[in-house]
Amino acid sequence: MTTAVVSQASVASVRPPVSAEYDVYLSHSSSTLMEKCGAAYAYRYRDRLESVTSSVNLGFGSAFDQAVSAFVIADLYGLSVDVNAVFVNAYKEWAATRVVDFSTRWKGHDDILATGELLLSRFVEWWKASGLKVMVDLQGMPIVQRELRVRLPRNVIYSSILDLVVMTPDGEVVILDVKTPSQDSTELFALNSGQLTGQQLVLDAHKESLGITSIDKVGFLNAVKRPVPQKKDAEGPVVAPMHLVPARTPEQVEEYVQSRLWIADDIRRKRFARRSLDSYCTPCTTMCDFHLWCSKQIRDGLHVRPPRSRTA
Amino acid sequence: MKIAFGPFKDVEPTEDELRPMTDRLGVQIVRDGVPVHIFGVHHRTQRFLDVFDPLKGFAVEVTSEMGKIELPDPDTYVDDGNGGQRMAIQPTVLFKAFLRDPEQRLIATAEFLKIINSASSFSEGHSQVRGKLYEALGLPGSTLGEDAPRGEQKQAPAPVVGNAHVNGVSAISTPAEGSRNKLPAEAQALLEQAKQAGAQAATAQAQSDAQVVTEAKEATGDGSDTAAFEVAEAPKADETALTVAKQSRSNAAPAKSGKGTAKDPATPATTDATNEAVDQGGSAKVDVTAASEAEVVVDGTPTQAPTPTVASAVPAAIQGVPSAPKAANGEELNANLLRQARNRAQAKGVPVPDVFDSALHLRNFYKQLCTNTQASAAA
Ligand code: SF4
Repeated sequence: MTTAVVSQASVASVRPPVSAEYDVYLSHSSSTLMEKCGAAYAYRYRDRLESVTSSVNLGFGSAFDQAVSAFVIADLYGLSVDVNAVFVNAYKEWAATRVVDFSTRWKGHDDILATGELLLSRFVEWWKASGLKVMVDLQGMPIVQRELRVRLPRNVIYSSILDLVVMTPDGEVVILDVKTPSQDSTELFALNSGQLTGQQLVLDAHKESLGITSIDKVGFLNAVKRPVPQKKDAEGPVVAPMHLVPARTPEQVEEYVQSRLWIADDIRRKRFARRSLDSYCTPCTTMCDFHLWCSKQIRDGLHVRPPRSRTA
Repeated sequence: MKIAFGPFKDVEPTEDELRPMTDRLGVQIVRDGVPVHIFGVHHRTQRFLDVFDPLKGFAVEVTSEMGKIELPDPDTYVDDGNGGQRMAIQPTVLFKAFLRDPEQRLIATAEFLKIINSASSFSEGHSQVRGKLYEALGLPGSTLGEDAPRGEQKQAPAPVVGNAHVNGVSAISTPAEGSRNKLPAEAQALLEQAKQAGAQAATAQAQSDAQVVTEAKEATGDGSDTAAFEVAEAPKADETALTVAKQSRSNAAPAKSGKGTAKDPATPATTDATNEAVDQGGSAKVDVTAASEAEVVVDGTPTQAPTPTVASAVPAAIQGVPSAPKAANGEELNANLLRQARNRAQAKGVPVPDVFDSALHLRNFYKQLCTNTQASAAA
């Protein structure tokens, strides 16, 4: 029998982890998918499966985001930008590289482009009337589409992309998330949304380096995407009244952090159970990209995403 | 839990020999709706000795050697050098256990790699490898049929307590990693344009200032070769600034103010001196960022011709901002608001007061800047 001579490892001299295998990377969308259905999370993030088709909503949202980003920056610096051209180019570029899945309310790409144009013009009007201005950081850079990352306890890395951090004419600092839903969301949702809490969490951690002294409000800017109406009186796409709610309390942020840690634990423990819920609220519909694979082991319509490298 | 097979057939732990198995957060582990219980090494040793009696010649031998790998320790967290925490990487010891019969024949073996993170780790390793040996012989460590990982019996870590910054949350601060612009190409191009224009305007500004100084010196008979050199160098940068200014205002309306005869009516004149400079192909002091409100094209046509602003407002905006965020009445000024107001004022070519009377003064000043925007930017 040998006797091991073991000295207590000095915590100061421990080497950095050899790889990222101990870290769990979470974003709002990945952690929400894990909350919604563990099996769906595993298919998307463990197995890297995704649908070969892309919903038109994704392309619209991304193109709209690009146009809005360009516009608010142009607005800040007094520059000129053709927002509609930005939208059209971004959407066409997106649509050219994939099979687009249209829902029944859209007839095709032209329908989408027309809605985008009208919605953007309404957004521009709305923005000018709002008096909102994008915040600049200490380097004078506008805080638009800014990805911020934080390390949570127990090796969880959480990242979030902030669409806009703006200041109201009253000097309040607001985290504004731009959405293009097909219907408006309620104030109740703004009050509870984990996505906004996560954005506040990361901005709060980066406050000093960005030169932000306070975060006063959070909210969604819902640019409601509807087909351009044929009838004169019909409303069509509009920017819904904005629900800005007070920034989350430290307790609410803490609760969110804890909930992300639980999700990370579940991921580490491979708790990838199906979560069908009840028939009236089940996510197991054709809206779930994995419904065929999950329920009938049919892989049609899915492919494997190429691996992605991590930098943190 | 009654053992059905092997040397321990019909052994059934009593209630006293079992305790609930919890996870790291102290929550009881349940499998298939049934709480899992631990049948600890200490209790199993007695059952084991009943079957493999040392007095009859059975022998358990335990050896140990330094583990060849180090492992992250879920019980010890250290500074990650980035303001956050990570698991410490700790040394390990490999324990091996052997059961021999009275003829010294090997009956069973087991191994256990133990993280060494405290003075008691070594003896814990001894117990754990024994537990693994019992398990190999059909005497499991839990109602689940396996030994409980030791770490799972620990108490939950102290809860994170809240304040403005949630404890344990740290920004990943390296600019390349922690904070990234995900700006789309068009927005990025606009930003570059603004930055370039701003830098050139600032250069032009500095050089024009130098020229003013030189002229002042010359006027007082204090001219020098150095000053003349500075002036001679000035036009290059100024021309570029002017070009950028023209580009960014391609649809601009003629200047409303400025007395000179600027070559391009869309380019606002600044002072008589600079107008002359333009006429001579020389330096023009033009602030691009001060140009106008956003000129938005929603249907292929600009909805608003920007209102050029007299660029001489810019030096006031740059130089006239109080360096300490305090108002004249001693009130602290909101640094966010001050920076935003400076930025906004610069973009609009509005001078910023040298000193704000009060925090309210700054608030009203900013509000005014936003209100002006609303009025002048209406499509
Ligand atoms: S079909 Fe239902 S259970 Fe299966 S992955 Fe989708 S949501 Fe989850």
